[in-house]
Parts: sequence; C-alpha cells; structure tokens
Amino acid sequence: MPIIINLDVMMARRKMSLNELSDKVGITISNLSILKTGKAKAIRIETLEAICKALDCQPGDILEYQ
Amino acid sequence: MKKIRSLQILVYLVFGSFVLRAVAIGALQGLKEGYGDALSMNDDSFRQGTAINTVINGNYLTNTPNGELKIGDKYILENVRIMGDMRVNHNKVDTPYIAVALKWILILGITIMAGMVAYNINRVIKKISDGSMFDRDCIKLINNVGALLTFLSLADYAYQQLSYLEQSQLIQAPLRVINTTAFDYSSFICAIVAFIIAEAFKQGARLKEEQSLVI
Repeated sequence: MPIIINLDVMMARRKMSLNELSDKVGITISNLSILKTGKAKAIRIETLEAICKALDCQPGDILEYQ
Repeated sequence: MKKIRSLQILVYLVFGSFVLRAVAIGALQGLKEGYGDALSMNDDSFRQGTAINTVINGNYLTNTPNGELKIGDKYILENVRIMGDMRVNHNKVDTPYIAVALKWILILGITIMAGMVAYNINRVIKKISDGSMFDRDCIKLINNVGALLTFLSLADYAYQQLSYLEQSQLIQAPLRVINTTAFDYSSFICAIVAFIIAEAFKQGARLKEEQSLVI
C-alpha cells in the first residue's frame, strides 16, 4: 500500500502507549492496532483529527505517501 | 421476536403443505388400498391393483381416430383426454417393480429435501434477526437452499417421468397414456433467486469487512 501510517513512530516520540492513546482518542486498542499495522482501508477525518490532537502533531507526521 | 417466530412457523407450514400435497396423499391412498386388500383376502374376493391417477387419450370414448367429439352442430371438441383413477388387473399385466422402488426413493428424497429447505430458510431468518446475515455461514445456507430447490425440481420431474413410464407399462392398447409431465420452473426460478440473494449477501459481507477496517 503506498500510504504508510507512522503512528508507532509518533507514539514513540511522545512516549505514549497504545492504551493511553486509546483512552485519549476514544478508539479501541484493536482498531488502533489495525491502523498501526497498516491494515486499515480508510480513516475518518474526525479520527485523524483526534489522533493529531492526542499526539500533538500534523497529519503529515502520521501519514506518508511512498 | 414474535414476528420472526411466526415467520418461521409459516415456513414450516408452507413446506409441510407442499409435502402433503405432493407426497402424502398418494402414499396414504396406497396404504389404505393395501390395507383394504388385506381385509378382503379372507373371503377370496377378486383383487385389483392400486388405482393410478392417469390421463389417457379420448379415442376410446369418442370412437373417432383423432379423438374428436362433435357437440351439436356448432362445436367440435378436439384432443379429448380422459383423466381418472385407473385400476389395472395385476394378474394380466406385469408391474415394473424397479420403477416402484425408484419412486419410493424419490418420494423419500423429495420429503427430506423439502424439510431441509424449510430448516435452512428458518436458520437464515434467525441469522437475519440476530444481525449476523453478512457472514459465510449465512451465505452458505442460502446457497444450500438454492441447490436443494434445484434438486427438488429435478427430483419432481424424475418422479413424474417414472410415473409416466409405469403407467405406459401398465396401461396398454387400445388405451394410450398421455404424457402430462412438466418441469417445475417455479422451484427452479426460486433456486436462481436464492443464488442471486447469496451473491448480494456476499457483497454485503465484503462491504461489512471493509467497513470494519475503516477507523
């Protein structure tokens, strides 16, 4: 897939675990895991917004096109 | 829940009626006549064979080569056919036992298949009411219903053909049995509809899986 999700990179930079991110964003750990492993087919704008807010970053920090 | 239960009961009633109409009436008549024969054996009365529902050409009745019946000056009835319950004296004509055995196997097969169709339809109804209709099991059940309906229509046609062959053996000249066998297209069309529904549910399952991967 040409779009890469760098969620684990941002989580490591912010020193945040999957549990903490799940609580902050309001998404289940299994869904975050699907996102992290690149298996997601699509991401909602509101979800991206919530993740960027929780990790204090830009969408481009999480999504990368190769 | 009540509505679902009522629908399931209705499915069983409809298929039960189908089995009764197609199978049980003829079987019951055969059993009654067989029982009647056993009762009459004690007084050495003349035994005739089981009544066979048949359609014969009307030449015998109209006494014309083309089976025409003139009614007054205005009307001519053509292709006259006589439908009735024929009794054949078993002493003079051979009964094709293989045909009778095959018929009983088909009767049993049709009854079992009709029951399985009803059972599978009820399982699909249950899955729909549970909200789990877009999964592989449900799609498989619907495909099974389609396959069973196809086999049911084929078995019904085979049964009709066997009945015609049996009658042709038993009822001979000067009478001629008319072949009234007809393939049951309605069951076959229902089978095709079931396969189409299964494909639609397959697409639904694919969309559901995709949707579950939308975060």
